[in-house]
Amino acid sequence: MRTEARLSREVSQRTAFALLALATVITLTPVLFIIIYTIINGASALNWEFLTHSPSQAGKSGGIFPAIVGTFYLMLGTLIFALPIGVLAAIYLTEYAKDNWLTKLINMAIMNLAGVPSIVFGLFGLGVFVLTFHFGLSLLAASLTLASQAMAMVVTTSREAILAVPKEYREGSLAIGATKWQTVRHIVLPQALPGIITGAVLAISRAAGETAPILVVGAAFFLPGLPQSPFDQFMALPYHLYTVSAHVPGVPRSTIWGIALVLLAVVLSFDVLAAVIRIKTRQRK
Amino acid sequence: MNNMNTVPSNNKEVTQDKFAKLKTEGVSLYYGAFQALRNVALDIPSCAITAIIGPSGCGKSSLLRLFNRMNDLIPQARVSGNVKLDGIPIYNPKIDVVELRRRVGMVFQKPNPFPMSVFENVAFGPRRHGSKSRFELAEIVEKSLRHAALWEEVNDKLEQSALALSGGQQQRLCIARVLAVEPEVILMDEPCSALDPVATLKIEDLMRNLAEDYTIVIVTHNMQQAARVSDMTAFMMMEQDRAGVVVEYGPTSQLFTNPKDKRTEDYITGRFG
Amino acid sequence: MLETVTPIAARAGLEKSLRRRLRLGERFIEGWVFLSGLLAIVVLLGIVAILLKEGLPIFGYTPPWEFLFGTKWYPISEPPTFGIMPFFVATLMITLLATAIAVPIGVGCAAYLAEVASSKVRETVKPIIEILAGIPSVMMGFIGLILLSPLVQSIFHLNTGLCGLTASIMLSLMSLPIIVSVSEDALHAVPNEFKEASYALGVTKWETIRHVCIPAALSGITAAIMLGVGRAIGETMTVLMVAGGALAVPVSPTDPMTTMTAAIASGIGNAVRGGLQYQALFAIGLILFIMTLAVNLVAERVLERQKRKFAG
Repeated sequence: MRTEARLSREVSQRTAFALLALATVITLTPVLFIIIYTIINGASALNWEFLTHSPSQAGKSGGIFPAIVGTFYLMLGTLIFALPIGVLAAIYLTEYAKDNWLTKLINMAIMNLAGVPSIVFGLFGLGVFVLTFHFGLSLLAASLTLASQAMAMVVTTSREAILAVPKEYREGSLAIGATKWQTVRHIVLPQALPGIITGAVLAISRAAGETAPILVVGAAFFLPGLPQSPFDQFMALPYHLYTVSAHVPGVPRSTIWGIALVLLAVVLSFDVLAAVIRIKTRQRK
Repeated sequence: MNNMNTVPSNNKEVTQDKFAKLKTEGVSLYYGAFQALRNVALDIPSCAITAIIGPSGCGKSSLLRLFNRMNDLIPQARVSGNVKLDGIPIYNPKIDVVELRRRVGMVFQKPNPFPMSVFENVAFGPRRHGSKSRFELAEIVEKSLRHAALWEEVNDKLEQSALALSGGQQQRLCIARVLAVEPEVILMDEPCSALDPVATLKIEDLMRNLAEDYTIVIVTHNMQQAARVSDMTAFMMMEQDRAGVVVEYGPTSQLFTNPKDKRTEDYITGRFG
Repeated sequence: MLETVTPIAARAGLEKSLRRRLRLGERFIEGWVFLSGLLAIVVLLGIVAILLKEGLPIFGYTPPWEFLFGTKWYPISEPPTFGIMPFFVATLMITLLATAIAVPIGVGCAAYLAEVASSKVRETVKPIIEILAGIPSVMMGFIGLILLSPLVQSIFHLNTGLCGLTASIMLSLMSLPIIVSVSEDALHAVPNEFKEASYALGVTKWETIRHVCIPAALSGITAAIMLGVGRAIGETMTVLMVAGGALAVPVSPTDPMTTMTAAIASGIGNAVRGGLQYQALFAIGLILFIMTLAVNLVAERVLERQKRKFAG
């Protein structure tokens, strides 16, 4: 009797574990499939002309150079606006803020900003940067919009990195008569730097892939030249992928896969960079 | 600054001067609603070593941290009574805490050198206080390392990471780091408890040398160390409500051979703690 | 020998040097640091403000009841009508379906990683899931468009594969990483003591997972699900590209539909600045914002409670 019951429990366990493993496989398969499929289908479109020329015939032929440039400008712009402010905010929260209602409010605001839909950020950018500030549909407005979105992530990762610096270093510095900012600048920040950089890289990788905000704020379907100033409109890889796959008939499949591949490569290479930095610093410690 | 009648010997005979270097008058320390120290009254003489001993948890470190206001870093810490440096109350909004901490330096229980080179560790303080020229800094670094009895061992390794030094060397490096900013008082919070006996003795020798020029206050759970090294000793205990009090305070030789309070006697004879 | 220094003169000199310095440099930096800290609040308030400013006026034209429950969205007819039921139902339907698909898979995967998998497997799998999280939504939309929708079309014999079901499937993939990650953390946080007590009673590992670990981690898993829901509600590009774009209230998942996010994205390009459609789109944005805010606040509360439960 007992052995029978024991056996059936064993069978249940085996089945259950198989199902759990299946769930894991189902979770993993799409990623691998998507990446491999994109590489296979997109590789044929990748050639020098594709990467360095402008599109022609409404994207049906030619290259995607302006989109690549536009995406890099966007990443740079996001970094310029989100990183300094995000790090300073993280320093405020870890080193200077007192435990009061204001601090709790700031923390809540950061957590909730992270959950705001990207199209709502697009509306925010449109209403505030494009219209109220009169920046117009531009790289500047788009960078500020993406930076507003990225800020929450930069603050969170920077804060973790700063908190990880052992308090013994801070005490040692204060106890010989260094000021708080001197301690932060010369001891805490250098130690926290790898973590901060990792967070920043992840944030701009995400910004590179965002479409909804820039759709509303300045991305253009087709531009003959490159943006010459921050007030110009721009092309961008994710938006380009969207338009040629959903709005332009007759674009060769391989071309679209090529765009997808370039976008994926940009986003993933930054993710890999962040992971490498994280691993390298962990090794050093 | 101020000297007193001193008889140079291992346990110096020290007379209380009217003008002690550090003074606490009826000082109590609270963390929120919890009272950590009650009514502490001490006169710490200059250019001597004062030890604070007592069972663990009785508030010795909290008392030590009064003198450089490191308790300020704890959100709900509150001090009543007067703590004075050279007669000047230091718990006063008009006082510059940063400058205070330069004058009253601290060495911690676990050596905490910065993750930088030996040179940079010692130069850190002087740099922050304005010294910039490499030459000036090199001079200060050498002087401080010699003063901390570490120069001979590291003068060929100045650019190496401080974390590569042994525990005892790291602690002497931390002492050199404090010396580099030219303090008047050096507070030491169980400086040897993380070190082996050989390193401990080296630091005790160092302490006695330093006491010629600096006021030293040391917290230690090692009675024998206090007896070996200090001129004055304060014995602390935790009372029923967990507040720490100074039970007895006096010249070391007297406290250990002829304690006035029974509780002191019980502690030093090992009946508890 | 006794050296006496007149105490009073000495004290005056000392007092002066110990006096509080202005340290302008520090104050300046502290000012900037403080302002940066406030910026998060400023941005959040800015979002609320702009949504209210541009969106509230529509309720002067269409009363709120009609806006929320009306089923006709005809922004260019004369006169235009703005009822968002089609979008609301679409959002609800797609979110529920995506969550229904993602939760069993995600929680199952989390349980596998936390309790069954060897650490080597875990170390390999987790980064791959992170990569899934990093795939841009426009790519997921593209994949859904090119690969999944023809499949759905043929399996279900539809006129077009661009429908709610396709969108739900792609969306479930996008919610998986956050569900797996937060659930796994929650399961990890279950104290070993509970598991050991269970094993010591001769209970199998699976039974322990099912009857001890998962119930103990339930609030964390709930939070994970809510975060996944929040993600699904807010997703734009994927649904824009594969959900079909129809304006009628959807009846079944195989209908083409438009979610609230897609409605804003597709309409905002054409809307005249300040016009009625423009205002209506901002109003939808406002409602979206409130919905995701509510879901995230609940998730945060639940996570707090979970942390406190095991912190003691």
